[in-house]
Amino acid sequence: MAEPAVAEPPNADPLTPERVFREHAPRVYNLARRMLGNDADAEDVTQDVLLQVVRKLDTFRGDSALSTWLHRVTVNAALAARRKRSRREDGRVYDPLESFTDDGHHAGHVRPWPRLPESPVLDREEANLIETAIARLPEMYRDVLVLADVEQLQNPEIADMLGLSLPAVKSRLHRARLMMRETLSRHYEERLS
Amino acid sequence: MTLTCRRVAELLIEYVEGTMCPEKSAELQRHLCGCVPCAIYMHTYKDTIRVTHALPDAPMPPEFAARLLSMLKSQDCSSGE
Repeated sequence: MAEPAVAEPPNADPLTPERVFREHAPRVYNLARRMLGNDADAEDVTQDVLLQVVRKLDTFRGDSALSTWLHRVTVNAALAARRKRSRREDGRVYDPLESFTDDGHHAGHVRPWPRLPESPVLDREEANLIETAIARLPEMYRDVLVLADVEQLQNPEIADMLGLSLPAVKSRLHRARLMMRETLSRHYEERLS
Repeated sequence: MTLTCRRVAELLIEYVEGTMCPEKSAELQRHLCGCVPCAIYMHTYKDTIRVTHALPDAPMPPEFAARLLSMLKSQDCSSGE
């Protein structure tokens, strides 16, 4: 894959290993950890990806596009690590749309959550809850949700990275959000009651 | 109401991302105005996206961070030789 060749402003600090580490390691590590659901594999991926960057530092004329490039390389490395691990998920995947009756009504009571601020700041309990909910998603849904809703990538970019069609990305993302909603509902409904 | 609650749930991604055609969007809005469970469902769907986006990065384990930084520095020296 070609590295980005986007010039930085003339007064920008040079790309050094320390700067790559400081500005990019946490993001690479967290993306890998959320995709793989495993700290040890995330460490391996982070190390591989950042070593690639540092070994090619002289080929980067700037890091404006480095973040985008890193997303792609990290996703590829995480998918490769998962293939190597070759753990297959088995069992039927639960479909949240099954919580509707045959004639299309809500099967159970739909309860509200407490009012959340526009930009919520999560406490440790909420952050852990969301991390756990993400880790429990089936991989095919987890990858898309992490890239779309945590990393804030656009759907076409995700489709390109994962080798999926755009409708497939949207379908998986929607299912993932519905699964997350159900898990989070148990927490937020309790808080309200 | 022509849309069922299940159909509304299926269409929420198009609705919240603003990619739905105006006619369908108006039809869905009419359903939401008359169906409290679906209105709550839609709000909590949007809240799910917001809290997921608010997820902070976890710190790297300190031993790993120290090992990684040291490894990156050594690679830079070796490539410059």
